[in-house]
Amino acid sequence: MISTVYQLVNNMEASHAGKTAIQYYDEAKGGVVSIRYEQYARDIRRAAGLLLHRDPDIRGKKVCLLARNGYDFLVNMFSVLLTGAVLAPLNLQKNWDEIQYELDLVEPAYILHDGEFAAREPALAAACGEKLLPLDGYNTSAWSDAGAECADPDALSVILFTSGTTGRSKGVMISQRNLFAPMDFYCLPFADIERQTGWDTSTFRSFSVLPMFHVAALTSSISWAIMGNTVNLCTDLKHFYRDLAAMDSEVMAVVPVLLQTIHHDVVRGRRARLGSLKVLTCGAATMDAGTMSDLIGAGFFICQMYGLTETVGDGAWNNSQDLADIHSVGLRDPKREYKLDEGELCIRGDSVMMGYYKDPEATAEVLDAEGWLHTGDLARIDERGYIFLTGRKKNVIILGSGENVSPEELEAKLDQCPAVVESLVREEGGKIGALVWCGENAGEEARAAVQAHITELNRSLPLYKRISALHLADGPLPRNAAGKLLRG
Amino acid sequence: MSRTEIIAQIVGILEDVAEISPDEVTEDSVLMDDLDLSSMEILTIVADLEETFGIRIPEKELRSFVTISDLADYLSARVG
Repeated sequence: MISTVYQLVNNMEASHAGKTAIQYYDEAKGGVVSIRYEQYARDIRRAAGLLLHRDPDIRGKKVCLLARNGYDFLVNMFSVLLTGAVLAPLNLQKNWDEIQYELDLVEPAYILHDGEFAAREPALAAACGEKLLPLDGYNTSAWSDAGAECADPDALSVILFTSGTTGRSKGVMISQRNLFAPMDFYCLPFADIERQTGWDTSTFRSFSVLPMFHVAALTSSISWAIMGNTVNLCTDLKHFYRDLAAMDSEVMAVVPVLLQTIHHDVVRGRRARLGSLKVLTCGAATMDAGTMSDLIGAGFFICQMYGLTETVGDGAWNNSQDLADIHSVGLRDPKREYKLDEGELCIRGDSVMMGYYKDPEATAEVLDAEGWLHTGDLARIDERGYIFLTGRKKNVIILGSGENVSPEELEAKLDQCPAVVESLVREEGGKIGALVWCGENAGEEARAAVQAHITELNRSLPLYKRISALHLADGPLPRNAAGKLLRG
Repeated sequence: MSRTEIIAQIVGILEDVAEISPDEVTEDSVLMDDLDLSSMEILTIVADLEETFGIRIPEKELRSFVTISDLADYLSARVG
């Protein structure tokens, strides 16, 4: 079993050398570039060699990665880990204030970058000029390094930033033991898909649009490399259809807006433009059950995943295509322990993070003395082991009657109204109120449409869950850089 | 390029990307509503417009494109 980055890179050569690892559309060449696993491993070793040439004592030092999605991002990501340095990928979409906060926290020795952020925010070069290293330096480097086996699998290896619902982001500390612990849980479901469908999953290619600084991209780039399958990179959503046509793929990890796009194509009779796409792994947010069931009806295989950055994405996987199970995020990872603490889902085991970087207080809030990670998600687990999320502990609305209401659940229902762009549900004097943004130039017509939707919605809800007040927002609802709603 | 020519280009791209018949498109057509475009289709259309007109359309502008007329106004100002 592969349990370190060193073993992963060796295995690329030993087991998958001639297979296609990565493909991407090269704008300059006007065509697809294919990288085989042997070249992928060679490039990772060259990038690692260059880092070690610059700094033979890089082990344990922090290296930030600030760049667009792309092949160079993946090469550098693995090379940093191979040298024994600590990888801290940053979100290119954030502004300088947020990035500066994260840099001050991490105190990196080096920042690998592609120039994009620096062009937008000159303050980066002014503040960290001597630490900046080009992402593509490995292409012309004469050095290469085979790396060494991870000396301590429990040592800090990755810092991933996660959005707090309020305040600053927190750095989730991950060891290589944490990182590789859930890999079986990400790879084995494909054998199950093969059993259920008869499809040959060994030839599956994954179409990836996930932001690479995010836990899902990190884990999937490892799990697909373990399996030796191909990952097709779509580095700009603008070119989604061009890239999908140029790089036929069977699998895609989706968030709700992508699921909507695919649903839209399918119901409009434009399935053909999606090529071979047939397995959708859904995560990051609650998906609409009707959309998922339509797609299952149209022949897609829908997987639902549940996890946190704090568990390296580990948590639950739902491979059931039975519509009765569609509201479940799935079954537990058999290698982890689970319990409900006053309704809150708690997970314990090797995938649970080491803690928040330089933040023992925040760590103590979620990680107890016995090693249980408190997810903040309210759940129930049925007799078969299927987990159903019922709300967020922190966002839960507790009414005067003592009833608990999940704002997300109502927001999802409000968002189904075509006039609603986005919504926020909150408590207003013991009742439930909704703040709704209907887009620019929305007037009385939009209000009437939303009110009519709420009236119908309320008919289907128990009394305590009914929305009794509607307010139209005069602009988009405030969100943090990761796109999560700020709930003041 | 005249406004009429710009609209003709937009209509052509809509037909290409989303198989929408030119007869169905008017200046007042609402992109996500009347034309039933997904957000990904709108992004694709924007990419095609960038290529056609040789300009870069910043993401923050996308929010203001509600109707075909909005798009035409923006493009007229940039390349008209």
